[in-house]
Amino acid sequence: MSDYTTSIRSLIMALATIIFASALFDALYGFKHLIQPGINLVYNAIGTQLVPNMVTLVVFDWRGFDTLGESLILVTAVLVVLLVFGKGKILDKNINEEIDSGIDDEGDDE
Amino acid sequence: MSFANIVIGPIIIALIFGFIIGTRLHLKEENSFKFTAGAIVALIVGGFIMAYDIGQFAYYQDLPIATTCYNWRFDWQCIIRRTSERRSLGNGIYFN
Amino acid sequence: MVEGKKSPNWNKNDSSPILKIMTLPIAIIMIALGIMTILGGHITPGGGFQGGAMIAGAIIFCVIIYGVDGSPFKISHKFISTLESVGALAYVLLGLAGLALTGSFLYNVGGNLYGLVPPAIVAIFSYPDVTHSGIVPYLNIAVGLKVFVGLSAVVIAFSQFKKLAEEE
Repeated sequence: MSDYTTSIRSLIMALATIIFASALFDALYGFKHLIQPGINLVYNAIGTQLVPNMVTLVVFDWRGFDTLGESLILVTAVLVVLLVFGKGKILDKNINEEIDSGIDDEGDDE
Repeated sequence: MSFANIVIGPIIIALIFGFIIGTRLHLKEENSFKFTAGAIVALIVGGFIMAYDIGQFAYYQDLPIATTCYNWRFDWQCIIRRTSERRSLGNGIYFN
Repeated sequence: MVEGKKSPNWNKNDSSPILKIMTLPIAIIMIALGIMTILGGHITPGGGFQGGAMIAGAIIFCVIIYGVDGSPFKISHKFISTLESVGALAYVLLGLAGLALTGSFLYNVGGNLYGLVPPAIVAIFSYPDVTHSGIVPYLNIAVGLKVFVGLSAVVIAFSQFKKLAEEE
């Protein structure tokens, strides 16, 4: 890689960092006035009428979308473990037989 | 105790859940373990004793056994009574 | 011993006979407790993730003691993928129901905290229970299924890698 490309990349990275930092600072500046505490008050006041367990109420009702992503993390972890350590190979008998027969058929055709 | 208003949701879903996992159970192995019909009957009896000792969930007052874990069977009434007293006193602690 | 009855081959996997007798009943009780934890997620401490981890613990217990081939709980690849898909789809479809009816994703249609949904639709989505928890128990069940198969899949995959290494 030439020095020219590297310097261009560094420049872009610096610009992006400046934009991101200024946007973050702009969002954080006067943050107190941006917060609407209404939803928090609602859940604290009448939340336990809906679900008696407040933790479950927050996890599944208030922040349900977070929990959807959180449950997908486990799938991702399993996938990555299988890809990295198993090199994509799962020793399930049915699947391996299907794969082997498929490969054999292709070989016969060739 | 009245059987008129049995909470039917947890019972049905627990049966479906147990059925899904139970279909994976293969007991006809030639080796490794010995789990006969008598063992299954003993497990069911033990499970009912366990369910009776565990008691019910909070808010559930339909059956004397745990339909779905916590021994609130006796303490819960006490808590409700105390809560209503507090509510009448008006010191700001509310349940339900 | 009665003639004709085969005694089990205890020492196949180098596990103790005590463990081999006790593991399966304990695993079944652990599964029952896990289902209890999942279904009581909206009332008592715990929830879908914890209950699913307890069921996965029972499966892992069996896999460790009996080995993958001799385990009484045979979790196949198809079963894992099916339950994973069912859990994720149930979660997303419940969220889409809220999106279609009120305009916000994962709105609690059965609980109806803000009164945006007509009562006829609330009756469909509400959990048959003494609490007015709405779709929260269903989300618990979906997450419990996902966590149960997800955590089981890791251990089953690892124990099959060992066999793979021996074959190669």
